[in-house]
Amino acid sequence: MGVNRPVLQLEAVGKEFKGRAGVLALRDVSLTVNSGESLAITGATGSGKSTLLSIMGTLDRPSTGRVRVQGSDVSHLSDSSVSRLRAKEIGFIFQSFHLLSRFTALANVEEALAYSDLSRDAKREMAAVALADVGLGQRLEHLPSQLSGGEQQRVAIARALVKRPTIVLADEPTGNLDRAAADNILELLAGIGRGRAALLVVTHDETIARALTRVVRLESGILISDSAGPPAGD
Amino acid sequence: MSCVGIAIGVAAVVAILGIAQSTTAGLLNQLYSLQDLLTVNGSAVTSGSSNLPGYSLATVARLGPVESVSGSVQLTWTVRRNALVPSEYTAGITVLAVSGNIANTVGAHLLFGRALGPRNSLPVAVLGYQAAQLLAVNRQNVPCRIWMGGRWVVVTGVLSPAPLAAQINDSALVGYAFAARDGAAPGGFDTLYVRTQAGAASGVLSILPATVEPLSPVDVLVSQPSAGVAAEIAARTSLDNLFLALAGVGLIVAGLGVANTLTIAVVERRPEIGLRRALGATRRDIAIQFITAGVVLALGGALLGVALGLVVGAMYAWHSGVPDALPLLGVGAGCGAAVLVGVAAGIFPAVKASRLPPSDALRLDP
Repeated sequence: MGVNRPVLQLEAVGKEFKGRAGVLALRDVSLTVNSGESLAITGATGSGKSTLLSIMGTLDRPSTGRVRVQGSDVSHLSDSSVSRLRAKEIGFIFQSFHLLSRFTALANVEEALAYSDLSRDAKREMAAVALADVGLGQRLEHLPSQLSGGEQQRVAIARALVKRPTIVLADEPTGNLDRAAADNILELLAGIGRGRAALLVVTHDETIARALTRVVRLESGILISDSAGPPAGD
Repeated sequence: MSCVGIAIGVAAVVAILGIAQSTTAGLLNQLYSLQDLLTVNGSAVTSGSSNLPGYSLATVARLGPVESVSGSVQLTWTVRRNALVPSEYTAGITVLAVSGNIANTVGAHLLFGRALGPRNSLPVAVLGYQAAQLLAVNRQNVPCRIWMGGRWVVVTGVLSPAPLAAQINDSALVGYAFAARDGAAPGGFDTLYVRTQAGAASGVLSILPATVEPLSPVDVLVSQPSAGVAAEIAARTSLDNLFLALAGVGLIVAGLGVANTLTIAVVERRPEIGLRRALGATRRDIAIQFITAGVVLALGGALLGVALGLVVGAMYAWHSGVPDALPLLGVGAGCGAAVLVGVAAGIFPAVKASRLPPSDALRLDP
C-alpha cells in the first residue's frame, strides 16, 4: 500500500499577509503527511488553520519555506502546472459545500473532471459511480436546492473523490450540518481515511478529531503539537 | 440589458447600411436608366424669349448619337374633372402640348391605357402619374373625360412616375397638333427632352446649344439631370458614413455595458471562480470563460440586432419604393463588430477574474 510514502511535505513554511499591520499567519511549520494517513488540524479561530489548508492545497503560496506535493516542489512550478497538479492530486471539501447551484448533482461532480483529458461519457460514468458510492445514486439529476445539507456535502465529497486524488483536504466539513448528518459525513470521511488517499481535516469538532489517526494543533500560526510525534523539524 | 444594447447598436449598423444600399440602388437605377437624358430650355439672355424654335426638334433628331427627342410647351389651359368645378381649382395640374414619344424619352412608361400617337390632333390626353392621382383617374375608370380648355377631352392613359422630369408627373399631356389646331400652342417649345445613345450624353451636350439655336446658342441651357443623382449619391454616402460612425459609438457604449455586466459577474461569482481554481482551472481557463461570456452576450445581441436591422431596412425600402438590398456587408460588419466588442469588453473582467487568489475567492473560515 505504501502507507509511509510521503504525499505532502511542508518544510519550514511561513506565510505573511502584507498590509499596513502585516500579519504573520504561519511561522516555521514543518509537516509530513503520508499516503493513507488521516490527520485533524485543530486550533482556535485565527490560529492559522485555514491558511495552512490553503497552502497545503496549493491555493496559496508560502512566503517562506517549501511545499512538496508528491515530491514536486510547487514553488518552482508555474501557475498552470500547479493547477494541473491540483486537478489530478488534490480534492477539496468545504464547510459551505460550494456546489454550483445551476448544476445537477451529477454535473457538479463532473466539474471535478473538467480539466482532465477524459471523454464526456467517461466523466459522466465516473461521476455517477462516485455519487452512488456516497449513497446518492438516486439523486443524480437533483439540483443543490433540492438536496438537504447532508446530501449536498455528500455530493461535495463525491466531487472530491471522483478523480481518486492522493490528498483530500476538508475544511470544517460538518460545520453547517446537524448531528445526524455530521455523523453520516464522519463515516464517509473515515472511509477515505481507510483508503489510499491522505485525508487532512480542519475542524473544531472534537468528535472528528478523535476519529482520525493523527491530530496536529496550531496556535498563533505555530505548530505546537502533533500526535504523531514532535512536529517535524524539531 | 447589455444584450439589448448590443442589439440596438448592431441593428443601427445593419439598418443604416441596408437603407444606404437600398437608396443607392434606387438612385443608381435612376442613374443608369437616365444618365443619357438631357434637357434643353431657353434662357432669354439676348432674345427676350425663352421659347425654343419649333424646328429645333427636327434638327436635334438628326444628330447621330441622339436616339429620341421630344418637346413640350405649357399651355394656358386648366384641367378640371368636369365643367362644374370652379376654374380656379386646378389642383396644380398643368397642360403640356407634346411632340414625339415623350414617355419613352424621359424614361417613363405607360402604366395603363393607350398612349398619345406621334402626331395626335384629337382631343385626347395622357396624364402624368401625380396628375392622375389628383384627378382620381385610375385603371378602373380609364378612358374617362376631363374638362380642359373649355371642352371635354378623353383621358386614354396614365404614365408611370418620371423621376428626372418632374413637370411631366404633374401634367396632362395633349398632342402638339391638337393644341396647334386650337391656336393654343405658340409654335415652339419650352423644353426639349433628348435621349442619347449610351455614353454619348456629354458629347451631345456640348453641341446642343448651337444645334437648337445656331444664331444665339447662349440662349440655350442644357442640363443633365442624372448629374444631380450622382451628386445625391455622393452626399448620401457622406451622410451614411456619419450615421455609421454614430452607430459605432453606440456599439462602443453598449460594449461598456457588457464590460460592466461581466465585471459585476466577477464579483458575484467569486466563490465559483475560487471553486474552479481549486478543481484545477488555470488563470487562462478562467479568463477564457469570461471572454467567452462576453462574446456570447455580444453575439446574442448581434443576432437580435441583425434581425431588427433587416426588418427596419425592408420596411424603409417598401415605404420608399426603392429596391430592398440585402446588406450582407452590414450583417457581416455588425456581427464582426459585436464579436470585437464582446472580446474587448470581456478582457478587463477576464483579467480581474483570473487574478483572483483562489483562497480569497473561497473565503475559507479562519
